[in-house]
Amino acid sequence: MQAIREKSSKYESGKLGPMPVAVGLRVVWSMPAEISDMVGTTPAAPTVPDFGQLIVSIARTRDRIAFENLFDYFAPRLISMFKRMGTPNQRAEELTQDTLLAVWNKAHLFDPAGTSASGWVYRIATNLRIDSLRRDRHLAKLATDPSDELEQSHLPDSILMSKQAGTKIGAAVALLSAEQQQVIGLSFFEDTPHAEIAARLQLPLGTVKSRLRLAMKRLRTLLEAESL
Amino acid sequence: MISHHPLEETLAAFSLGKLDEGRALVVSSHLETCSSCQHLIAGIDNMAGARLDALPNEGANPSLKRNMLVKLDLMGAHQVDSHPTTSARHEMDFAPKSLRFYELGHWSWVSRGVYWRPVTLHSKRGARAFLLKAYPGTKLPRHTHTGTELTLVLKGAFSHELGRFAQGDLEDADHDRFHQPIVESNEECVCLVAMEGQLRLLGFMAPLFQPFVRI
Repeated sequence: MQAIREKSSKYESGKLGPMPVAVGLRVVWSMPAEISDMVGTTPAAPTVPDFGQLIVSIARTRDRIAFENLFDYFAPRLISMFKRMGTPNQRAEELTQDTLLAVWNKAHLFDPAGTSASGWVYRIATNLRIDSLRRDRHLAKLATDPSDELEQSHLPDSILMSKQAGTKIGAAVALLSAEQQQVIGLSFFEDTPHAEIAARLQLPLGTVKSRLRLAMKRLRTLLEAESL
Repeated sequence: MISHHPLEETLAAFSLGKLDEGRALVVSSHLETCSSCQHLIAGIDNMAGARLDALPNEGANPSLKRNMLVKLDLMGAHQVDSHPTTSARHEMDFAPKSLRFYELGHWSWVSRGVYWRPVTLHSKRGARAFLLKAYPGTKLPRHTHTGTELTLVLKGAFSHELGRFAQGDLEDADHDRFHQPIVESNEECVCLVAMEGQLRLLGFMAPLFQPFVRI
């Protein structure tokens, strides 16, 4: 924990002056290995290249090479993610294609100073999965009006944030305990029902719910303390 | 300064697309002005993104990539993401962007100094959504709910035993409480509400009002 605190105070030194975007991205991208080490449920991630820059490059010049690099990295991971969430194989591939197509089309909305590139891709993938589940529900009901039941209000793909917010978010996340990161990871990344998380962690259901609530409260406090 | 936010469970369900349309409308309207909730969700996305990075690279079906690149060619270089746009039909300049996608009904009288206006949702399931307007200084009828309620203050402020709720604040209320909000005296108060179940008025005047309250 001490090491992480030291690291986060280094991030904060960015407050002193304008922080080069590249530094910000490197800090954001140094997160995965730390989290997976702390949570201990996933193998350490390899060093991740600067995907934020690749997305920016797509936005600026419709850079196909950049897109192919993003595809090679994200496509297999997205397929695994969708499958973990219970999506059948073929649908997982379709959703992966849709997600990467949205990355190509919405690259201009990506803010390198905001959420990390992986966080941004996760949000697009989650929104598409929500849409697809709603469409299924809609088709199952055989509604007569095709516009009926198609709800459109969910999170925007890109939340506007102040400069340097991305690094501070990464620093705040790193201050959560391993248990807190684990329960947030399971709830949001794998979209696992609370009862299933409770069974997996061998904890009472109430404990899982209160741990998730406390983890989110603590994250809010940490983020507010960073005064983004 | 926004001081009341959705409960953690509500925000979590929202970010995973598990809220019904009425509640999602109220939460997304709150998010438009609440940087604290925006950052919280960005933090969660950041963590979820890190777990995406940590997944093993099992390699994808090569035909998937070929198809993808063909699609890019077919699409052309300049397709720009288009958002559905609806003209701002509402005269309320304080209305959140999320509400602009929706048709609104007419204002109707509820009780002394209190009016409501339904929001036409696309989905018939879950909570109903409506606007509630109360004149300055109005003491709302003491009431309770048979279901849950989310109330976002769009304009003005009200107070009850659990605190003061001003512009941008969201009250995520349990159904087993009753309360009597009082609107502050300097300005009318307009709220966006998602409500499940029925409103129940309390007090000796209740039988008089209850027939009119079909919100």
